Amino acid sequence: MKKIKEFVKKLHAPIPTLCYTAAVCIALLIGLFNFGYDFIGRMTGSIRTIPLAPQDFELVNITVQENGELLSDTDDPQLVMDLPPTRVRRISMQVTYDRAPYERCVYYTKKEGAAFNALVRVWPTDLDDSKTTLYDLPIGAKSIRIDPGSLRSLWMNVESIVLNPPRPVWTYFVPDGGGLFYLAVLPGLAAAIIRWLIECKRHYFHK
Amino acid sequence: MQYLDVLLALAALLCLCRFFYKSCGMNAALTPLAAISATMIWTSIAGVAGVLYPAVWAYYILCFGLGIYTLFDKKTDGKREVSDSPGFWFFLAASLICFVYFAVRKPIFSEWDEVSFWGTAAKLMKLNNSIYTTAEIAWDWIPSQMPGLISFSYFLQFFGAVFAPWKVLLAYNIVFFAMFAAMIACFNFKKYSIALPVCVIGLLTPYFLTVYTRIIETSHIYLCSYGDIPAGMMFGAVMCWYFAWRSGTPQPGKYLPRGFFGLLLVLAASSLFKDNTFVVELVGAGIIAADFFFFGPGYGDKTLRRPKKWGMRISYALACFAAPIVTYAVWNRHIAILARQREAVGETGSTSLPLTEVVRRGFMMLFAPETRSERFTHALNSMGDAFFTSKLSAIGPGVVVTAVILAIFLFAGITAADRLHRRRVWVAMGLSTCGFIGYYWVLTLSYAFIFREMDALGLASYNRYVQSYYLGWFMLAVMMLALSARSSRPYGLAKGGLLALSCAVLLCVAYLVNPRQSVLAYSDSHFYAWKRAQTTAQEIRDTIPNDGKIFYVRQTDNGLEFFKYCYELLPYQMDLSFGGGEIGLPENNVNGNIYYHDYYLPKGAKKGEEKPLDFEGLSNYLREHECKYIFTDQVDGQFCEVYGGLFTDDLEGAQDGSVLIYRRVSESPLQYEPVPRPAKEAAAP
Repeated sequence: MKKIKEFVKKLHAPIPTLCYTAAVCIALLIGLFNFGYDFIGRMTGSIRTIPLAPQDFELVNITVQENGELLSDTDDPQLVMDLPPTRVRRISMQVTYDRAPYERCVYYTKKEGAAFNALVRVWPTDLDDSKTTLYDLPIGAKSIRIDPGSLRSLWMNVESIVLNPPRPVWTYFVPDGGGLFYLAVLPGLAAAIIRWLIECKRHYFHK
Repeated sequence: MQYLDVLLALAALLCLCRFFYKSCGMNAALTPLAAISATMIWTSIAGVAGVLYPAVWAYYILCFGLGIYTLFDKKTDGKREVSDSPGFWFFLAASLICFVYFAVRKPIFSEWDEVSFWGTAAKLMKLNNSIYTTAEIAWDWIPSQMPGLISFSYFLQFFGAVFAPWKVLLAYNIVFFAMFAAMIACFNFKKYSIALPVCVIGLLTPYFLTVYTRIIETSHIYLCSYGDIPAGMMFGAVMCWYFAWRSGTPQPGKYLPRGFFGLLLVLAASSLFKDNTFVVELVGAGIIAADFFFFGPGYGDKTLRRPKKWGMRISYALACFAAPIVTYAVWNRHIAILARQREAVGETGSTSLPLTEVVRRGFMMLFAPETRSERFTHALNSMGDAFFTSKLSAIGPGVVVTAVILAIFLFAGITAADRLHRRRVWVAMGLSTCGFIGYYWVLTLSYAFIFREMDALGLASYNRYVQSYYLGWFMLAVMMLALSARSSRPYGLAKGGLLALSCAVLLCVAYLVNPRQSVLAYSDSHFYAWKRAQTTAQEIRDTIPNDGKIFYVRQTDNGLEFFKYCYELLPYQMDLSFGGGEIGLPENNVNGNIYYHDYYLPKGAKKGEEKPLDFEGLSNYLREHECKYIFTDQVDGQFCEVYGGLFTDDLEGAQDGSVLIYRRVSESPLQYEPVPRPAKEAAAP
């Protein structure tokens, strides 16, 4: 403990240095954990890549047209799957619309039979081909509900829905722009708060 | 030179920054905004004077020359100050990171007003190397909006071979980073517990005060060339610059820190951001002037505190007012001359009421209700309702935003240990609140007398206009709190409040803004529809020479596609083409569609002498406007039936997509023949 304290004292700006180091380590550990979980899941068969069609879901507020396209009946079209055939960690959808679909998301629950909650959902990542959207779900997601849009009379040509498409290893460890921003800001704020607490402690308790 | 031009511009700016802090003794973190302001002023005035190209060349030489001069200047040593200036290093790092990011991703314009003004003006300036107000463009009105941001983007890509929209967006973000650097200018690295939350709040302020619902499409903040957010942020940044500068150590034997000229530069540049926020910038100048007047020179040194020096106080205060007014007046004189020239040749000049007349009518109607027009009453009531109900920020409507800002001021004032700073907070709070009331009144008058009736009824763009004030007001409040945090009573309370505020702002923004729908990690699919116009415009430029005007046809357009192609086709010239929309016979306008054009005004005719847009009408229009080409982006049955006779193929090519452009081949009768598309494009749907 004494050696650790001496080492910390020698650091330049010890509090921010420790906070950023800890943040990077935590981010790497989270990436490693997610990668490990998915890897073991695929090895044991609990996570499988399964292509699906819209008809494999329970369609809510959606009508299937003669040409196979989907048409939303209300502004809340849903594709619901209470018991997916595999643990779901990622969903890939290739769909084109007749106009901007507005809000898209995937609701999920971690308990069978539980109701979907607006606070428990994930948001899309659009790929640059203008039709592929990815949704990453946390560990333990059981039932899923895909909201492909939020408009009435929205035409949707769903080309594919894939549960657990293959995912490059580097995506587990390299954060996107948002991840980098939080990695830059959160440890800094944490360091600022720790510094403030230490200053207050010194002022009030060590006068 | 695709990227080298930006690096050269940044190097020139840094040389000027170095001159400001080494030879002029300015705080290092304040130099970026001062340097950018100087650049905006120089480039704008050079543009107005008609000597833009040589003047910017001279400016580059001057900047590099001043940078070299500082290598030999032994007067002051700014080394220690720069190395201990988180603001300066933040500006440098953020600008370089943004440069690399945008250079890789190359975002383009994707908002209406970017192609109807901001982006097009920047492109015109680059293409012509002259101010955009004198450029030939399809619009029949003078692009009179302020030149500051556009001029700076021109400076940034001055040495580039071609115009690049991502460099315009980069220029705007560099200005933002300079503003945030000014906010943390009075803190060194040891004070990171204050500087960092202030910087985080600054970065998130545009989201915090303009996003009021969860984002479902890519947010254009930090990805847009509109002037509203920068103008509002500049209002706050000018005041933050001033208070940071005043926190510096006065020169020996003097009353103020070095670098007053820098304040005049940022004040002068602030009025060059957007014309309808000039009033807002004047409020900022007024708060600074009042601070000079009430608290005088001398700060930090108790022996110098509050010397009378009335002459100095008044002259500095007047100088603060004069700076933005001078640049505003220069620009408006330029526009007034252009408007008179255009009116003299029968073109559209200025059609708005003068501001003085607007203010006179407004006060008359306010205090004499019997004289109120229906429109004035509607504007008054609507603006009152909107303040309480119109959601415009992450924390709700304007009344909540106002309450939060005032609460921050109160907290900053109550917790300030320094009595002088406490009084400053109260004065700033009082004046900025009065400024808000005044600005809100001016907006009400604008809706009552200046805007189009349609816009006034629905309070069009209300959020954008009022958010400009909230942005700067919030920045000022945060700055006051940050200054209180340096020494507060009881100890640590102000800093704790600042940290709590930064966490609250971060939480609000994180809840509403998905990073994958923001500048941080947006998808290129956001630009898909806009890139279609880019590709089509390139095809047209590859197909026909730039030897005639292009008439644009897109039935069911609401004007957006017209503006897109006005921008994308440059330097090729589009005709006004009725501003986009549907063209047809008067009897077919059954729904009263405002985008339906069924009459035109022949050359030389007066209002009221319009003629129908039948076959002969369109033929006459095309002749009068010398339209050598017709771009059939989208035709419909009505267009083909009424006007098909103008085309040698009866518009068959336009209908099946094999033809985009028709070329005039005969004057009498007027005939256009199809210009074949490349085979690949013709086959694509």
